[in-house]
Amino acid sequence: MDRALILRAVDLSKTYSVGKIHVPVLNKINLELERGDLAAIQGPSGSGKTTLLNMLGGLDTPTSGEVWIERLNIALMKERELSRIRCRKIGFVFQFYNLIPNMSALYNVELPMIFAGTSKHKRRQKALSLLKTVGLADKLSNCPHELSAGEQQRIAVARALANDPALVLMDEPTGNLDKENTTNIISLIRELNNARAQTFVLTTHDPMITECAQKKLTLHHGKITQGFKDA
Amino acid sequence: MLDVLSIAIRNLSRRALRNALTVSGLAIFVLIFILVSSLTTTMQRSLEESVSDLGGEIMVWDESAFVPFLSTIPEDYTRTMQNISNVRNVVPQITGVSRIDSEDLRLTIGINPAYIHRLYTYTMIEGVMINNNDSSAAVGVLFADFLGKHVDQNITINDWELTVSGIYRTDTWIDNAVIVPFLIAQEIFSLEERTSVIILTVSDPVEIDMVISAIKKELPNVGVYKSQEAADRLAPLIDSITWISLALFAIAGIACFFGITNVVMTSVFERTREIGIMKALGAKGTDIVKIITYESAALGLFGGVLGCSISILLLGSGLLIPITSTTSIRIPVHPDIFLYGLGFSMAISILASLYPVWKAVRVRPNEVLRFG
Repeated sequence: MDRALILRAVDLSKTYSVGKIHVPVLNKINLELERGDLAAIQGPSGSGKTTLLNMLGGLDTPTSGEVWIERLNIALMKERELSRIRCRKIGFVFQFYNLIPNMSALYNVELPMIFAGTSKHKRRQKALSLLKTVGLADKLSNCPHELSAGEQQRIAVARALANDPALVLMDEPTGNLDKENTTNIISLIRELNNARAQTFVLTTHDPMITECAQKKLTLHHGKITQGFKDA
Repeated sequence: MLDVLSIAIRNLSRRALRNALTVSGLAIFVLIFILVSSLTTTMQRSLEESVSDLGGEIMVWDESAFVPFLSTIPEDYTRTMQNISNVRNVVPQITGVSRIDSEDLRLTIGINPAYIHRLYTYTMIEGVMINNNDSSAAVGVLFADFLGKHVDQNITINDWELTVSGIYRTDTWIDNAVIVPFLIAQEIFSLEERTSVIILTVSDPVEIDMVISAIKKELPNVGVYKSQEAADRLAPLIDSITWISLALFAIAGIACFFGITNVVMTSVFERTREIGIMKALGAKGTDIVKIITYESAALGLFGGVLGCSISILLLGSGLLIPITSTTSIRIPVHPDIFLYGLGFSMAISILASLYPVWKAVRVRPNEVLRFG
């Protein structure tokens, strides 16, 4: 497998300021991930996992430092460029799925491809294929409220893969699921990671997920207390 | 574009009741615009034509009356005017509002048959123009079509039964009226020895101002106008009507603007999370602008079409609008006003969405999404 560098954070720091009060949330984070890595970021609540994932995904801008996605430093980018990166290079899976309620499963998966300008025929084929991959080929026309929590999260995973992103960021993907669905999602993530040359980064409290990750990182008070190391 | 449009339509269908109410509000705005604009346009044209098409070169009527329909002056003024030098014809004419057959508030013109061809240019579609003082009437082509009247049929004006002698066309407002002999009109309108206006022609157009001065000197309590001046005299009235209609339209438009802003703003607030999701999935600011603008434009389009449809139904059903205590007019359908109505509806909707769009574009996905 080509082990090209997909994600690199250099001295990544984030401080939230309210008036004269400055709250450092991330402190000089350095990390590197290669194509095909499956990495888990763990740590207690308030340790900065969310903020780190936001920075890595271009949803927030760092106070200082760099975030490189392949060969692009997204820390310096403006919102319009970030939109393009989020659309083409990054897929997101959220803890609470965040599907669009009035759209069918199929349309939810098509949505990132609409923003990418993919033709209707091509995106329909791709969405069907992805829903088949996540085992929901029979739920195409169901809206989110007609699906179980596990099914919704599977759709969210399919949606994250729609534009074949180099990097898939998952925020506590099993945080809202029961044990059976957690096992199913973990299996799905492992299958996808094996089958597709994509880099997966997950934040989690779940030891099951941490166990399946090739690389692990522990955050505490915005600092890496245990760095990436091979599983 | 079609993809983003389909997202916008999906969003609209989610809040069907609220959007239906918004569309209804817009439809009412368009309805007000079309009715008021059609009414003022029709009133302006009717008033101007009713004065300028009366024929002749000089018109005399009661100075206190805005329009000839409201004027009555003594018929014997004609004798005074005939004695003024350079006056060629002096023709009293009654212009009155009456009930014709089952139709209320219809215009009847009473004129001496001998002078009709000197004052009006007309062609006969059927039969002949009235030519004596018998109980006969000539019907304007538009009104005849409306009533389904033909020659030799009877027509009733304020309970007076007359026979239709012919149907004429002038291509003016008079095509919606009925012409009867002056003496008959005096009886119909109970104007014994009185008339509405007196129309004069002069033997030498150069002398027209002198003739007017002479009339004013002899009859100081009447208004004397050249035909064009008579039309100009209506300008303040027409201006007032225009301003009132503009004010009405502006008030309705402002109310609609804020109403739609409120609806779109509420919709944007409710969907802040969705907007955040879309941005996280790669939607650009322009995608968000398009989605919300298309939603608003669709509301404007639906409201406009509904308003135009109701207006067509109302105007098509022959809505009569009284313009004075005794006169009413039927508002014709003006296609250009419908297009303006539709355009205004969409423009107001799109303008009203500008602030909500600005707020939506500024949504930061990391602030609205739970991310760990």
